[in-house]
Amino acid sequence: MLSIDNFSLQLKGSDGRILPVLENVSLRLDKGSCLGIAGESGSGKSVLAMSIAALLPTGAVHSRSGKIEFDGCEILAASEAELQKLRGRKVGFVFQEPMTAMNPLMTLYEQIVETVYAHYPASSRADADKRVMLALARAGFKDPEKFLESYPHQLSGGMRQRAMIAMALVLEPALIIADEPTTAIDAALQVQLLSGLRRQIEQEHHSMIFISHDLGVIRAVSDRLAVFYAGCLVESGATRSILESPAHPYTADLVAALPRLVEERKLPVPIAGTLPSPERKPVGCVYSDRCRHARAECHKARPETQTLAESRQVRCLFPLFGGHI
Amino acid sequence: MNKVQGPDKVLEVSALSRSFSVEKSLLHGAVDRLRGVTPQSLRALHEVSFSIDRGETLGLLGESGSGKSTLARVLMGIYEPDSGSAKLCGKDIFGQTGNERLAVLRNMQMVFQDPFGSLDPRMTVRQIISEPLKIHGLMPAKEVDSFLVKALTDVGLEAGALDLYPSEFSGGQRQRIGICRSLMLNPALLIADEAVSALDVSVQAQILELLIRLRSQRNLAMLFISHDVAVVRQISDRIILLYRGNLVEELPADKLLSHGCHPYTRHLLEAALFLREGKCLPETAPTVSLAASGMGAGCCYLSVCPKAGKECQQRPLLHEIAAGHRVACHFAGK
Repeated sequence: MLSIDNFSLQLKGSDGRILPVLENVSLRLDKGSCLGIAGESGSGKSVLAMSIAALLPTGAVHSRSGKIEFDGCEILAASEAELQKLRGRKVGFVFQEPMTAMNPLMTLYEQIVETVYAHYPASSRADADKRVMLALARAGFKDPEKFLESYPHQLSGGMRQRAMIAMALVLEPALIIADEPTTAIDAALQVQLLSGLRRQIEQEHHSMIFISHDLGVIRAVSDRLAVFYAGCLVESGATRSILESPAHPYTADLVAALPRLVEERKLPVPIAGTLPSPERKPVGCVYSDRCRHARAECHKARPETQTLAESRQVRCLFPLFGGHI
Repeated sequence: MNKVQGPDKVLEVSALSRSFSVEKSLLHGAVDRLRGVTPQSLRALHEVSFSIDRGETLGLLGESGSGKSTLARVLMGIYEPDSGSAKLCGKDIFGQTGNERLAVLRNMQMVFQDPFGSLDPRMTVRQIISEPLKIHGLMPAKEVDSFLVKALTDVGLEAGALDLYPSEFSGGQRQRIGICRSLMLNPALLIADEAVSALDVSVQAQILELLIRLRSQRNLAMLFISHDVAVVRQISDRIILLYRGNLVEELPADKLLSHGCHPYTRHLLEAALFLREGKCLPETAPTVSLAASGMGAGCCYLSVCPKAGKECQQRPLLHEIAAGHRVACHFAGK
C-alpha cells in the first residue's frame, strides 16, 4: 500500500545551509494496519509525514532521493495535478494544532464540506451534506447537527480535535496521517479519540500513520512501530515486541523516560544530553554521543540496518535484543 | 543552600470560589438584561479548600476545563476571587494592595506551561532572571554576575547563557530558564502549571528530576498542576482532584491507585492505565460529555456518573474516610 525505499531528504536552511533531515529511511505500511512513528521533536518524523503527501514547500527542499510509492503512485516523480488528487481524497491529514489548522472565519460545516467540493465540484448539496454528517459521526460527534454552524472558537479543544479528524475522514481516504493529534488532551478524551481512530481503520480497512513522541499513546493504536532519532530510522517492528524488549539503546532509553503508573513509585529516567541539530550529527551512529552502551566502533561510521528475529530491524551495531538470523 | 524558615503551613486555601460570566455580545447581553434574564455564569471554582505544608508537593489533577489554571491564576492575583480566602506563610493573599501585596507574593512564584510563550524573546537571559529582583527592589549591589551565574548553574545551565536570547535554547533549556526566574526570589511556594506537558518525554524526565532536586535542596513547597496522572503521581506527596471547579477527592499519592474511590478518579485512572501501562479498558467506562451541562444543585459528576442514585441530587460534601483521604461522594466509604 505504502512503501518508502531508501528515502533521504535535505532541506535548505534559512541562511543557505544544507540540512540532512532524513537519512536512508525504508518503511512499509500494509492495508488495514496502523504504523506508529515515535521520536523527539526534531527527529524528522513530521517531515517524513509531509513528504509522503508532498506537502513540503518546494523552495525549502534541497534534494530528495530514494522512492516513495503510495497506491501505485510514485510520489517523488508525480506532477502537482496528480498530487492534488491524492491529497484529501486518498491521503487524509490530521494536524497537530487544530487552532491554527482550522480557518477561524469558517463554520464547522464549511470547513469540512470545502474538501468535498474541492475534489467533487459537481456533488449535490444533499450528497455533500451526507458525507459531512457521516464524517462527523465517525469522528465521534454525538449530535453533529448542533455544532454545524459553530465557529472554531466556540468549540472546546476536544471538539476541535474531532473536527480535524472529521475533515480528514470526509472523503474516506485509504491512508490517514495523524501528526500528534492527541498531544495536550487529557487522558480520558485521548482514549476516546484513539479508540475512535482505531475502530475507523479496522472497520473500513483503512491504513494509518500515527506520529507521536508518547510511546504509551502509540502502543494504544499501532500494530507496527518505527522509532526515529536525528533523521534516522533506528528501529522498526511489531509495536508490542519493541516495547517489551527494545533492541536499540535509544528506544530503551525512551521507554525508561516514560512516566509509569504502577504501584511502586519510580521516577522516569532522563536521557542525558540533547538531540543534535541536523548539521552537527555525530559521524558514527547518530545516537553514539548519548548512548550508554557505545563502544569505539560506534563512533566510526553509521551502522547498517540489520534484521533480527520477529522481522525486527535495528540500526545498531550492538543491539540489546538478540536473536540474530 | 539557604532553606526557607517559617510556619509549617505554606499555603492555606479555604472555600475559594470564582465564576465567569458566559460571554455574549454587547447587544445580546443588553437584550437579556432588558428581558430580566440573569446573565449565565460558569462556576470555575466552587468552594475549594486545601493546604500545603513546607517542603510538600501537592499534585492537582483534572481535565481541561476543570478549573486547574483558574485556581493558579486566582492565587497569583491574576483573577480576583468571588469569595473565599487564602493565606501564604500565614499572611492573607487577597485584599492587600501595593507594597504589602508585593511582599506577600514574593513567597509564591510560578512556572508556566509554554517554554516559548513565557519568555520575552527580546530579553536576554540576564534580563529575564534579574527582572524579579528589580521588581522587588532586591537587586544585589555587588557581584550581581556571580549571583546570577550561581542561579543558572543551580538549574543546570552554564554561565555563558547569561547574554543569550531565549531563541537560542531548546524547549527543555527554556523551561530551565523559567524555573530559574521563578526561584530568584527564594520563594516558599512554587506553582508549576503544566510545567512539563509541552516537553518531549526524554526532556520531561530531566525537568522533573530538576524540580525534585530543587525541592529537597530548598525545602520548597510546590503546587504541581497537570492533566497527566502518571507524572502527578510520581512527583507528589498528596493529590487533589478537581472536576468542573469542585474538589472531588484528596488523598496521599501512594494511595491513588489502590484507594482512589471517587467515580471521576477511577475514570481518570482507567484511562491513564490504558495509555501508560497498556491495560484494557473496562466496558463500563463512562463517555466524557463534551457539552458543558448546567450546574444544578446536585453532585457535579451527576450527569456522567455510572453510580448516580437518588441521593446525588444533593451536593455531596467532602468528608474524611481515612487519614488524609477526603472524598466528595455519597457512596464513598460505604
